[in-house]
Amino acid sequence: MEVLSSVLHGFQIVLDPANLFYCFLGCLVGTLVGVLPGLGAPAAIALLLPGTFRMNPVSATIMLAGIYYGSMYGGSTTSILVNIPGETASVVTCLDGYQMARKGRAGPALGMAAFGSFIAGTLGVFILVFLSPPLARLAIQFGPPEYFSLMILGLTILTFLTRGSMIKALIMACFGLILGSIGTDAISGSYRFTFNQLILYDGIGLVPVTMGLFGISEVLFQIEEGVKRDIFETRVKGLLPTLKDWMDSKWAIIRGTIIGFFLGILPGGGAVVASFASYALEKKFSKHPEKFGTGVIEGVAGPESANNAGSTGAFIPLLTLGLPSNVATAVLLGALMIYGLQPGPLLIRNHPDLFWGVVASMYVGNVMLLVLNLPLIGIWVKFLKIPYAILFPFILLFSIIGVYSLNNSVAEIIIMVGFGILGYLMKKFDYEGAPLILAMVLGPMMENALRQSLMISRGSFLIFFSRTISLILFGTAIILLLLPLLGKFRRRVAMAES
Amino acid sequence: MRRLDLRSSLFWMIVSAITIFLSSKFPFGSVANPGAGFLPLLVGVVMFLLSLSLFMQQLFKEEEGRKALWAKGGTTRVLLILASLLFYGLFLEKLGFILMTFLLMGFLLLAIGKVRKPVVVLLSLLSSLGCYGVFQLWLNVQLPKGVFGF
Repeated sequence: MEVLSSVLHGFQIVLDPANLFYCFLGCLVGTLVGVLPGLGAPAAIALLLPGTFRMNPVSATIMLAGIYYGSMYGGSTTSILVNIPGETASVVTCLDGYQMARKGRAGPALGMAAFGSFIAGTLGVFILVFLSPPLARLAIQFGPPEYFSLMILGLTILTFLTRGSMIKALIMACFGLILGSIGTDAISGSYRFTFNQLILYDGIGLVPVTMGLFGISEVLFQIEEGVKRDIFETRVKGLLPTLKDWMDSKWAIIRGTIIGFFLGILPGGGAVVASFASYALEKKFSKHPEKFGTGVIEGVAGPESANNAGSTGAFIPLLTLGLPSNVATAVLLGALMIYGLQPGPLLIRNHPDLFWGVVASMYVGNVMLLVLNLPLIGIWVKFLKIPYAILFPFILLFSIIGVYSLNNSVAEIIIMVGFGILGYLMKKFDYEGAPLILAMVLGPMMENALRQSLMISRGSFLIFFSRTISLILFGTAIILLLLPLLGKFRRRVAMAES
Repeated sequence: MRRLDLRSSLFWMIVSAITIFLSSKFPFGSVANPGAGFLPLLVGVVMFLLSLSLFMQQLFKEEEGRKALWAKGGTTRVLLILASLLFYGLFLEKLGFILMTFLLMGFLLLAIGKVRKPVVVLLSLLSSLGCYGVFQLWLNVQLPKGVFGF
């Protein structure tokens, strides 16, 4: 009952005309950045962040959250029509979505992606509403050791799930931690790695780093490669899926929603992992797994539902524990901190307007996104036809303005360009940026939690293993780190035996 | 990939060695009362060990087909973009937002995008004046005015 009245309070907030407008704006921008390859949700949130400083924090968060889950809707359009994922979470949609388009079924593919996303997004918010308050109550029992172990687990999961080398992902996480330690030490007040530069006293800004690693580097990469997009030239018609499509997709949507939501909650998990897991699951459950990859609708419905539910699930650790589970929520965390809010177990109690307003806005946003994605599909296709030669200077310009307006500082632009070069080289040398950003955001919190834990235990690392929750979290992290080594060992034994 | 991994692991070894060196200048404290240098030093050491292990892994591996690191012709475009961004950053406060944005957009559209000249002029004008209107006049973002006062 208490939850219901809180949700109603949330609806009162979001139905305020100004908040409705910002929710719509967030969903619109989110869909647009989802549609356009090369500009993802983290970069878009970072880009618009400075413009929100004068806004009411609730409205600003509603808008930024809309960008995040909105991008999941938009990402499918590019995957289906161009075979280039607009978002990483839509990579797997290319497999069957594009094949459906080639067979003249682009309409039902786009329609099912939108409907699946809507159903999963709405169900996800429903679970979020009922799961967040008890989780927040549980999180109040978390002390520094539990927080430290949870953050270690988050980073470990992220490095474990990276598509490339785990060692490289761990190196990136270490580098992120080092970057996070630049600036004033929170406990002793001394300056670290600042080289007497005023701009570094508060640490390196998350926005220039994110814009550089994900925005600038992508532009450089695409310009070097010379992107050619072959947009499917058949007219997109008949967006409503047939009854057979619905029958084929219903379980895929339900399974995608459940697996997506719970993988989204996991620190380091999120929408990308959820979409891949859902595709693998659908293939396993299917009566005709051999047809996957040739244009089956379950291959679109499952992953698209999963990535939306995953993006909703990611709000749970963010809002109840103050921990981001992926890059986009890391930037959102940065935004909340800039607004003077401390995400964590006390957020629901201290800032109910923000928490319930954002949750209710996700219901409203999902309806808006369905409306945006079905009738306006033609407009999104037109956006895709803008030549990259015209698009990229605007991406660069908006990145520059976004970064400059943070502190009215040219140095931030230089930092962004520097990280753009680093991100570009990281792509060349096959390193991923996500562990770096997550570690950079978690770094200061992790360091405080570690130092406080060691002070409490008078220098004993056993504190992380003597408290049940901490033991479970830390133990899982250690197992995940050891799994690849175990796999290698087994392979060697098998080779030796054969 | 082996060749690239060897180079990158060496790079990260150097970065971690610098981190260890710089961290050693901060107070380390003790395990019971860690100082400002505790975590950076620890992370620097772990990063060095990880980079070293990547290096050793690749050292005894055979190269599996070389791939070109730079796309033909593309590198020049990348370098031109980077140079123009740095130029923009260095002269933004001296020459002002409108002029610098007009020049940057013009250069990117013309030299990199190979867009037709009338379109370049139109888009450069629209973007510099449009952004000035939206960000400076509407959102009150303080954009640099430069010596010309705009």
